[in-house]
Amino acid sequence: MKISTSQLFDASIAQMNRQQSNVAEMQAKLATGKSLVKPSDDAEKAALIQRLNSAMQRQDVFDLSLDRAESRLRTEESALMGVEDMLQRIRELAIQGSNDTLSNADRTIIAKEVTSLRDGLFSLANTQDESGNYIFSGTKVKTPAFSRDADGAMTYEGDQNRTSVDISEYRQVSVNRPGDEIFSSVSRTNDDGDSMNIGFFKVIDDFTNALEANSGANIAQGLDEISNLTDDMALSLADLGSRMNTVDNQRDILADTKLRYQELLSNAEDLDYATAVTKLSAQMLSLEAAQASFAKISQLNLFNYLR
Amino acid sequence: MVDILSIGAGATQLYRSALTTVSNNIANMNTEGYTRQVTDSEQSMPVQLGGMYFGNGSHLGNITRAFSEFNEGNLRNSSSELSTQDPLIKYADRIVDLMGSGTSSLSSALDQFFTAASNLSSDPASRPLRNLFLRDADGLAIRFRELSGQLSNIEQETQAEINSKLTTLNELGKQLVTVNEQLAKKATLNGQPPDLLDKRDGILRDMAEIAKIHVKQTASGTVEVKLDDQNGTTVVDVSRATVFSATFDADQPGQVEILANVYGVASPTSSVTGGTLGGLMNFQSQVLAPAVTGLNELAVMTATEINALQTTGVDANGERGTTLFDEGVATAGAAGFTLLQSDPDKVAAAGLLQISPNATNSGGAILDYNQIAAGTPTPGFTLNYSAADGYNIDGTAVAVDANGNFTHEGISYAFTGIPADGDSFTVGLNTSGLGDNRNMLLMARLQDKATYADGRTMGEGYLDLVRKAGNTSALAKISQDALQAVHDQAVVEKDKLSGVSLDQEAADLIRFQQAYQASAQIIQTSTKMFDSILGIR
Repeated sequence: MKISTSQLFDASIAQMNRQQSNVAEMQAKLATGKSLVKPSDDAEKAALIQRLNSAMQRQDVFDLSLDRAESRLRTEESALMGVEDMLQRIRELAIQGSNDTLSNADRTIIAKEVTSLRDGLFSLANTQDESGNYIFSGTKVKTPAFSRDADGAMTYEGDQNRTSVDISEYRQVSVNRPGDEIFSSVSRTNDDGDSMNIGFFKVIDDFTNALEANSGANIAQGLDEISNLTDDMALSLADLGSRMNTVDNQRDILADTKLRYQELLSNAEDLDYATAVTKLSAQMLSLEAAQASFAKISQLNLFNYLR
Repeated sequence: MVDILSIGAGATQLYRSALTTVSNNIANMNTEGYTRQVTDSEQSMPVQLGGMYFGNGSHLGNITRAFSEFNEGNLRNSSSELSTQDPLIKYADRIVDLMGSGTSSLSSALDQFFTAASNLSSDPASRPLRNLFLRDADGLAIRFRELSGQLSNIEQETQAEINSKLTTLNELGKQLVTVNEQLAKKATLNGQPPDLLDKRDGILRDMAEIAKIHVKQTASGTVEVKLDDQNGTTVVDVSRATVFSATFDADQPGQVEILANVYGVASPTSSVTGGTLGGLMNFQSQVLAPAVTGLNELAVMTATEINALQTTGVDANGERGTTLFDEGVATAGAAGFTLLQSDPDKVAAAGLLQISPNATNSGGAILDYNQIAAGTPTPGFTLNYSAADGYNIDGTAVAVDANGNFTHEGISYAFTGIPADGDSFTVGLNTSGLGDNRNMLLMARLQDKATYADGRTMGEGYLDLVRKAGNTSALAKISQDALQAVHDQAVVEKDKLSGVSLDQEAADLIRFQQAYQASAQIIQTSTKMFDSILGIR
């Protein structure tokens, strides 16, 4: 078969160009460390990488939500621990106060301490988180949870809404509880036999009044009710503990998920250096062979022998 | 009587021509489109002497091209098919690189937006987070507009390229008419100058690269050219070239119509297949149009979904939210994707309704509402329950099913727990829920929502657009490899016959040189013979 001279040159040049561009492409891959230099090299893979990147970012968001939820819950925890301590103290005082051997003056002293503890409870009920949100106001976060009127009576100002945040695609954790649920009311049967709800602070105030009035029956009732409040608070703390547990668990799961996505992403995106370097040497070898053979073959010409 | 002097003279003339042809071949070995020329020698008419015939030497028959119409046709068709793939790959890759790269893709803007929504949902009262949300919403809008702008740039570029290819085609048509006119002066192909035929074939090859053509040759070597096949629109007939032009539909991306203008009347052409022109049109209809339509569809979907949530929520001022993105996107597409809000307090993070149980409720039931459709008016009512008469709103009985669900004024509500006798619930606009994140949670969850009818999320829908363009380009690359092999083969086939090989020419050079020397020797011999006769005394 005849091969024309210009065809011989053209074909060799085309061949060397192809090999040169292969080498350049591999070099770019090695320089970036990515298996994909441009998305158009493999659109399918580029789409996969983007999807994995989105998923990774999603997990980072959950990480951040977990941080926020945890800090919120820690604020709630420290407030509730304080409340529990104070309630314990009030309960001790109630037990002490119901002792028949106490004098009026003794009870008045106890009443003073209870009053100051109640003020402490009031300020804990209006705890704010680091962003200045009242944590026991439901969703009315800019309104203090409890207000006190001129008579010293306290009212819950928040609403009943709970706020929950997404900590995974399928899991939410509630980051607050309405204040009137935590500072719970007790049910009291009054003299007419009707049952009615008595607010948290009213219970303590009634108890103080009973101490000051030296009314044995009311003091006993106060002790009962305060015991109820203490029990409720223990439940609240347990509920909080379970939510904090959820956050901790989710953190572990999230770390695993992130690791998995990182592996997938690395598999899709990162270059396998060993293979790439081997390929590059093979490509360079064939380019050199093409160049060397072209240099030799192009000299073969009958005219060289015509003298 | 046979005259060896004239045989010798004829042969030297013949071989001088042959050497000229060889030199011409060598001189033109690198000339684009040159066909190797061959000297045809013919025996001269023999001379009859008595009962015998004496050969009378040889003379120059013709100088012809080493040419095969079949090989040339193959080459034209293969180059049409090969050049179809090139613009398809070039522009589809640009779309993939534009839409698929981490920095310029919509995916990253969508991620960013949903991240901001998610962050805001964990502290909806935070003004800085509301500001970030607005910033990222604007980022999303800008990304939509940028992508749309880039796609329309690519569309304009391909349109310009289509126009420029048509201009070239028209120009080639004119040149071919000139060549045809020259060729028409002689009756047979054999009489045509080889360089004119080379020129003709060169023009046809250039035309074939622009669009697939059908060529019909007449006896004199003039050609008629049609688009695609023998039934196609005439590009050139013996004396007239068609002027082609393109029109683009501004409203429908990828719509191209090629018009043929003969005698000043523009009429639609038969289909244009193959060639760069076919490739560009394929790109417009198979890659660009779906990408533009898909992006616009996604823009409308995204704006609608986000606006629907924003308008069924409550902002930081305790007012019902107003649209976040311009609803004009429905007509303007991705190019009209604009953020309307600039006040962070206008971000509707809170749920629409505040449902308050009456302070004296003793049943402990909680009433909640399900997601509200866009455009539903804000309700305001009190739901009362009595053990005897059931549920009523303003005295009108309300049917609550066994699971505690009921619907009122287009909004569905659900009870958790059972109310006690005399309990009531007030439902109204959530005017004070600054810390309420219910709406923002829904906003963040849009990322996973099956927004498309076939269950894909917005992010997946977008990546599908990238993938679709990528698939077309990948397919075209595979075709290109195969067609390149076919084209290379066609080049080799044609070259085998028509190309100039220096080795062959060197051998011919020696052969004809020797033949020339021998012929000269014949003249010498004849001179000597004549001298011998003259020398007799």
